[in-house]
Amino acid sequence: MNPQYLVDAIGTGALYSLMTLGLALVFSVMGLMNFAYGQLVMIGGFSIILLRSQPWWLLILGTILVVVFVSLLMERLAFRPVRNATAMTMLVTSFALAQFLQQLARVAFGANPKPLEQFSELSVQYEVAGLIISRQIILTLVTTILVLIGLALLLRKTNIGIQLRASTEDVGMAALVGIKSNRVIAAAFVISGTIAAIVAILFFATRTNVSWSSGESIVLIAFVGAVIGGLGSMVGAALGGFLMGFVYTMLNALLPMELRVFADAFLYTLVIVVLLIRPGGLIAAKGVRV
Amino acid sequence: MKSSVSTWSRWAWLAGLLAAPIIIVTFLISLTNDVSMIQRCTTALILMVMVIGLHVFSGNSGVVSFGSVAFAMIAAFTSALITIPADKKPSLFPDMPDFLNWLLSFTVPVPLGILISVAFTAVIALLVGVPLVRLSGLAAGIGTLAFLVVVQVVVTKWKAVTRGESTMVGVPKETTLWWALGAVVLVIAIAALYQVTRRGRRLIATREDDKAAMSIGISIPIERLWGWVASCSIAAFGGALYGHYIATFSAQTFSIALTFFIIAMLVIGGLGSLTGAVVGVIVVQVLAEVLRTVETQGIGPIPQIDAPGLTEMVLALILLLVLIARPAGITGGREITSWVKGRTSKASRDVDPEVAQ
Amino acid sequence: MSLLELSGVRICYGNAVAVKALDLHVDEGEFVALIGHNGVGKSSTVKAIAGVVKPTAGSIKFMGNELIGQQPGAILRLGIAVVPEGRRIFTRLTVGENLTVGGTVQSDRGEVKKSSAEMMERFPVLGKYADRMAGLLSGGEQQQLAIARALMSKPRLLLLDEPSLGLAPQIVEQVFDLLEELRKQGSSILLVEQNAAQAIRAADRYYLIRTGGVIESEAAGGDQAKADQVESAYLHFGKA
Repeated sequence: MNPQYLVDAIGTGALYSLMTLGLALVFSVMGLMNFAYGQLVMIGGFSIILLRSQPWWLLILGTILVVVFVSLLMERLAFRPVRNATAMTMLVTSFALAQFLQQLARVAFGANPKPLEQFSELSVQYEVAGLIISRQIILTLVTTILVLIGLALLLRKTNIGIQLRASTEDVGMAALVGIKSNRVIAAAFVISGTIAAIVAILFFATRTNVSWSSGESIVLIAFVGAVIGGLGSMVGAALGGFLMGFVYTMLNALLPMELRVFADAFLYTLVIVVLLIRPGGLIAAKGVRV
Repeated sequence: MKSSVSTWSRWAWLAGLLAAPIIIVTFLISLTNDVSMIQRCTTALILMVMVIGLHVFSGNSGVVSFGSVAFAMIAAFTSALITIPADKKPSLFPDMPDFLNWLLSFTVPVPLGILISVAFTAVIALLVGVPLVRLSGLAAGIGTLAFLVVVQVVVTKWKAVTRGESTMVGVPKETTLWWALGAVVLVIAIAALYQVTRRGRRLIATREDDKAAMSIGISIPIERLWGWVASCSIAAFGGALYGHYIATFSAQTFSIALTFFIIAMLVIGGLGSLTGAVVGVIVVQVLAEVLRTVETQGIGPIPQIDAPGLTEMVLALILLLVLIARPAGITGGREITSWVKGRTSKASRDVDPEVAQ
Repeated sequence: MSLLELSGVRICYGNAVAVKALDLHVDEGEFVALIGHNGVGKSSTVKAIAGVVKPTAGSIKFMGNELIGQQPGAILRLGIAVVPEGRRIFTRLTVGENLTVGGTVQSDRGEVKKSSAEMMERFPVLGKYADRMAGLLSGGEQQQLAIARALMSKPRLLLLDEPSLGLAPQIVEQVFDLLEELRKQGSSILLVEQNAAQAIRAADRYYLIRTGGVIESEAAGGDQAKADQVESAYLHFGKA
């Protein structure tokens, strides 16, 4: 086996772990699996196109602001009204929202993918111990670690973080100690929106176009990663996402030619198997009903 | 104890009240001799078959399934494989694996092909259903979605058998308006029969209150399995018909977008009601018509807006609004029979005594 | 005017009536107990006061404010803190974090830190385990944490739902000693309990409740002999 595969697999895994984390955060705080999360990444992509010629710090900041804004809008307009509805209503609502945003982008930006000028600085490659590592992968890894640390700090050290954790464990008791659910949920959407923006930046860093259908496949993988890793558990989600990305890349690399095309099928069948054995995921979350 | 005479009468009313207007309208449309209109009507009828299929499971059990389109896809491909004329097959499927070589010479008339493919798909549905019906809520949604993706991938990548990403061609184009109408009437009859008889009412009981249902001896997985197999078979039927209607299709035809479309029609019409399934299809198709006209010509004061995706976008928006403002949909989960007869047939909190063991 | 006043409170779950028409009151500085068997409506009453469940009729007034229809957070801000049945501490937060979260309604974070330190002094075991996951504490320690957490919001009235449930007798003693201390310090307490004897001994006044939230008797507490008498009558005749 070519160890080069490991490098790519780790990079992809890191990206998906972030994506899954964003999904899991919102789920743990309100029981909603946000199908439309992928569209946040897509919107991030279009923001990047818009801000392409700006200095890098403005690009990043601008993208984050746009995506977080849309994320909050999503919560306020689409999800708050169905907050106490059945799980099915919430799921279908997020499905409908995803479709709406996707088609809106299609109408607004056109059916053809919009070109994105590559970030050539990121294509620079280094050779380390015989392996080729591009700047983009280094950036992905470093960013992922920073985000994970940042999120951990936020959850542990800040007031809103503690309130968030209390809410994910026992939302009724959280209300009884005066925690405002609107505030906590909004915080969750801001954080997950920021993560989506970061994923968009890392994802589109090596791509040359953004299309209205971007983000659909990522969210699907993140979705199943969250389920495998355990809904309601941040650590589990990150691990699940990483695993999905990693295994997916490795399967694509290692399977014999004829079977390689079935990598997707293997993975999704694995998901079904996990769901059946442990509906709560590999790291079962306490008290979260699936 | 209600007598069986009453059950048959309830079935007759429900099926009749739903089928009659559809038959009449279809008949009227056929008289117009407007080819394009007839085409759209046929498509709508086939979609109705699929939506009713989804209703039979998701509406009665309360469990969302994203997978019905997968079964439509399997049936469509299966029927294609066994109905394409034998002389065309070798060139279409040059790499057919050895164990399936017999398919190359095996050709049946389309009606038989549809029958066989539905039966075959039903068996697959049964196998898949056994583990899947144990999942609830979110797990079921994700599980069925995962299943759809698996089937899509297999169909797309198994080039030798399915022509992979290329479209399936040579499929006999035999589905007519009348076939579609006949299918809808048949499926309405079956779905109505299921939900007025004891079998279906047991499943509905699990939707209303699963603990109460279990307490009177209803096995949730078994009832769901019945509904699941029936539902997937109907979806398969719709898929096979569709395949023989459009005659060229690929895995992309049976996509998540189609899944969304079907779910949207069901929810807008009103989840949990057969009437809702029918009404939902009609309303959404009419709406789609209006939007398509806007896209191509404009209507009255509204100018032509040439924007692919406009129809889908407006539909998604409407679905969103329905979910937010009136999640019960147009029918509110009630059947047409309750309107006509003036009493509510919405299930009460008490478990239906007739379904107890 | 009483601190807390319930008049004609009626609580229904669907078609089932849990509490028919309850009248009770707690005055400033009083320790009132609501005792009765399982299922008579005690918990429903607590939930109604806390704003978790909405009565179908009647009124609940706290310092003149109508509580029915208000959210739990608002009721907390008015001055009622709840120690719920089963304690419901946040097991995935540390002891210190549980306390901090209890002080959510206090806007001055510095004040919250001070209160937190005070609680740890007052309840030494909490100070000892300040950074430990709350889920690792024993039942009795968790009960102390639950009470301390409620006190963090500096409530006018403390509402406790079955604090002795699931605890060993010695621990229950400790809990009631704690409540006694709070009472001496002037706290107003409404205690809901199945453990009749302890509750009667500790309270200034108690209500004995039967099925449907019907008050069987109301009397002064503290009397040991009376407590034993009620307890034996209560135990021997079972649910009324």
